Amino acid sequence: MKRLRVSKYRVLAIVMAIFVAAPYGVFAQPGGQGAPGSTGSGTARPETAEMDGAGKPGSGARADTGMGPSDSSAGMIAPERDSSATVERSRLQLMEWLRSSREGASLAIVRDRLRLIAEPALLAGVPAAAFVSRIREAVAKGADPDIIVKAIEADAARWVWVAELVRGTSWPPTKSASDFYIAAAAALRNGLDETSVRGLISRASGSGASAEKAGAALTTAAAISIAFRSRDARLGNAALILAFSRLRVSQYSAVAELAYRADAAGIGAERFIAALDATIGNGGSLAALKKALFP
Amino acid sequence: MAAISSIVTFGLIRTDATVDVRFVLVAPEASSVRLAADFNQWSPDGYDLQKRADGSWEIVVPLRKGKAYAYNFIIDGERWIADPSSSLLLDDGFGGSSSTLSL
Repeated sequence: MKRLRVSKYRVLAIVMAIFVAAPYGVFAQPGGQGAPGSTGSGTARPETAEMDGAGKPGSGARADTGMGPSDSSAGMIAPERDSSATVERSRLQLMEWLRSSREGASLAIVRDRLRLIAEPALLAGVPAAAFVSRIREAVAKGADPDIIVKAIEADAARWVWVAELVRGTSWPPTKSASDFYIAAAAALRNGLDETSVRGLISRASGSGASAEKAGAALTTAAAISIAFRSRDARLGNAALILAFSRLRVSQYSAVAELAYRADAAGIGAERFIAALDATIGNGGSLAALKKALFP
Repeated sequence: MAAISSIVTFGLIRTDATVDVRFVLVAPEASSVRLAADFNQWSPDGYDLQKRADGSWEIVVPLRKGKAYAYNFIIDGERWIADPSSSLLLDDGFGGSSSTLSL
């Protein structure tokens, strides 16, 4: 038992050393990819730490906090997340990335505008990595700098709103925070109403639910909203239903596909969400939803 | 350009946490096809699809389960398209769309 306690503390010391010693690894994106191309049919890059603009390899550490809280600590106060030192470090790293990265260089003409947008958001607790990810996406897609600024400004406003909702909690966990913020903003951009997103965040943060599952639920609910070409607030309930259902995330796309099929068959949004709630919302299966929609 | 279609299939489940995802784009007239997504920081470097004898393009990427991903194909280095076989498109905020995939 004593040896186990010593080992646990040794692991903790090593983890803390990694976070302290990795100032440029903050914008690494775990992303989920591993060694690719096992069949030889692709040439996807093997998993490596993200390179920052100066070409230094990152280590995967994130600047948002030193020791990201786990899902199990949901609802507990996490002083490190909102500490001024942490926020300042995050701000400096984002500014440095904007200054030294390839993406930042391509946006030199609007860098100051991006800085003015990002700084208050970072102070509010928005993860810097969310800015990095979205700016990377924008630059990769060749978007016009002015359009990028407007898009990031819209994202930032939504992110600040999310940050206010989770203030004082340790949710979402650091490792999945950036992805969740991006998913939440995308859902709002694509038609989900604030009440629905707020409801999901409130329940997820209070129960320590998986932020990744919650993000996927928001994405799917947005897709369902698009399927019905409707901003009916009831469709936003789909996110809450999915996030707390028995369905695996891998089944979420099938739910969205059913929405498209339902719309094509003349089944309206109201009936779809009622069927979703009655089946999957009550612990039922995807097959039950399909049967309810297409008896 | 000839009609473009695609297939995304789930292949080998490597571990409890990851699964191989095969992205296939049918674009016989393309000279190159690459994959850009949130899981590669939207940088298609190293994510070139390989052309098959039937004119389709394919890449297999191991991805972690339990989350959603956004992705696009890039044809001939400059034309970004969403997945033509997927109806799950979201406005990306930059004037285009990305496809989503939940694993």
